[in-house]
Amino acid sequence: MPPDCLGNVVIIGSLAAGYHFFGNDLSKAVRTKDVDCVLEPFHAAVGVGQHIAQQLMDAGWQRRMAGNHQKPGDDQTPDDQLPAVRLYPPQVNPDSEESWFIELLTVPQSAETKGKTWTRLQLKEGHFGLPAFRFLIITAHDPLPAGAMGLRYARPEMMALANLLEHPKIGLERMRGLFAGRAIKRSNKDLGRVLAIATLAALDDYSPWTIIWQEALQTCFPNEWRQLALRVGAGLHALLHSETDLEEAQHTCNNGLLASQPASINSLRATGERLLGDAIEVLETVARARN
Amino acid sequence: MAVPRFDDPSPAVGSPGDVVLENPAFEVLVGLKNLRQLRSTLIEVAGRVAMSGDRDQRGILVIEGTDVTDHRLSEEWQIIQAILKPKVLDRLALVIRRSGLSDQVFGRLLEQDANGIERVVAYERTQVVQSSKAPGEAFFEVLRVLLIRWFRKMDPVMLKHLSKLSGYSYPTVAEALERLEPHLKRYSDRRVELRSFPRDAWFQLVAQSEKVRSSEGYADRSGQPRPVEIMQQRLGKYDLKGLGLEGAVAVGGVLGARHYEPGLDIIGAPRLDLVIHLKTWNQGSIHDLLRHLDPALQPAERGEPCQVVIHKLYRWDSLFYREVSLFDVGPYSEYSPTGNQWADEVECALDLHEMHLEAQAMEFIDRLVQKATAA
Repeated sequence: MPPDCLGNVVIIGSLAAGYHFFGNDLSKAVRTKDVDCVLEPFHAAVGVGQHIAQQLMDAGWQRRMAGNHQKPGDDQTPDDQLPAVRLYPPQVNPDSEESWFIELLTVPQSAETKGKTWTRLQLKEGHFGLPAFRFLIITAHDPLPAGAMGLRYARPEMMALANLLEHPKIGLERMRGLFAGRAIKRSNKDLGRVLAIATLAALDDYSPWTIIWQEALQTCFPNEWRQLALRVGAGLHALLHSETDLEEAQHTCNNGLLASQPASINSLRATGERLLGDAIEVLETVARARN
Repeated sequence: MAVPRFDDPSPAVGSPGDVVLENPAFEVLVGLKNLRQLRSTLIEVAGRVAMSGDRDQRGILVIEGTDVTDHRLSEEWQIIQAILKPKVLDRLALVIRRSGLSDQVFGRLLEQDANGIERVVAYERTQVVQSSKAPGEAFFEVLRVLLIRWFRKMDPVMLKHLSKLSGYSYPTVAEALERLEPHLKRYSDRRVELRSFPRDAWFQLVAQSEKVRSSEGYADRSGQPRPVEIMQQRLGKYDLKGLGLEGAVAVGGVLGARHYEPGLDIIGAPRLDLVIHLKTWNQGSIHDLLRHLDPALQPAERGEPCQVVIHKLYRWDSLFYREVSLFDVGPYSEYSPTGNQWADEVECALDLHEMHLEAQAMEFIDRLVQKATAA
């Protein structure tokens, strides 16, 4: 990536979590196919995105040809039908087991922006889109430096909060591809990620997350933070009370972030209960008290 | 607000005031055995509601612990729904309470009614325990009180006060004292105290400990138990006052024993022992307390290793050792910024025995005896 763009990139997802928890431990690994790069702040995202994407493509990085919108768009293509920037390294065979790609995303334009939005990115190959999800702003909040690389990565507890906010209930939507051989509900995968992060954090007490989460919510959603705080735990609560969904979440954990230290259902449930009791219920109390 | 009130603001166990309820009328069944008992009691409560001159009169049946399954209870409630007129049914509620689990409610329960349940049940449990106590248990209660006072080098106690402290009548206490006679020092003004350690009686108490005490264990099944010290810290941060548990919770077990005897040969604490004084307990929720300590705790099966054990104390005075502020230092208090409360020495020693830390339990007792007999 161009050095002058690195300061605008925040790595999120399982790679960020793996780097945080065992970046220095060569005996452990993370199973992931994608490197999610959030470009922020929003006003810089288009310029940075153009610069990064163009440099990588000029260097031979290959576009990932998957999904509904593979062909670059033009002036007439609606924003939500533009292909995302997903690029494999030059010598990688995209069909191989070891292949991986980077994906460029951005944060929403404002706190009021809801759902998934697309920001147009014009390259010489055509028009592409930078997707943004409402709660990506949380993952990009107060990121940590990735050593001397100049990149930053999301705080694990912020990724957990973003996933909790994204899934206030167990949705029926399943992920497009198989996850370690199984069709998985997106909610179970993302809420499973929350449990995996909490497991790896291995805190004796999760109450410090209450303060960190409250600060992030107040900063990112100053007008709505109380309402959002009150829904943080709903999806996790539902997951812990559904054997089937929790088992699916366990499958994603043990074939992803927890591949090096698989967790039992009882262990994941205990971690989830601790997260609810130590951090989330306290956050809810704080949000209610100041109403 | 409709909550129970007591005729005597501080009833001693054994001579309590009657619970006077205006609205709602509570009925508590401790340890429901069968559905027949449930149905007859529900009909009785419904009858009281129906016959009341007050159209707003409500009735609440609280089941405190039962082996009957939720499914069968639910079926029974459906039968009751079919039997009763809607205008009566609408004023009835059935609340099922199981240790370590959230309450299950059938029917309509107003928030203010829910707030009163904990205290009503606490009171009812003291009645059940008192009435179910064998006369022999009075001996152990008297023994415990005398031992604590002796360990703390307190003044001899008047028989009348000992009766109040132990919660047993004067003749029952007098009978218990006869068994302790060789170790007793009597004064002409009806005061008594121990003069030596009643070793035989102590081991009888240890042998009967499970029967004499009311304890419930909670286990971690995740394989990642929360450290005891962390739970103790969390207890220190807990808003006990706001949750009706102010002054009612004390730390016992290894932590308590180490508080009294810091040089005790014990490394680490295998579990957290907490003593809950039911007389001081004011509507607080043990479920909420446990959830605060560690939300992953589950009620333990018999023989399962516990991370937390809750012991319920029914006697009139908790005899907790209080750490209070610098401005409130009394004869049995000391300055501590954390304001911990410690269970009495006997509770701690019994906890050590229960954990099979026999050598440490005896070391603890020996140290306490040495101090008690030192000039």
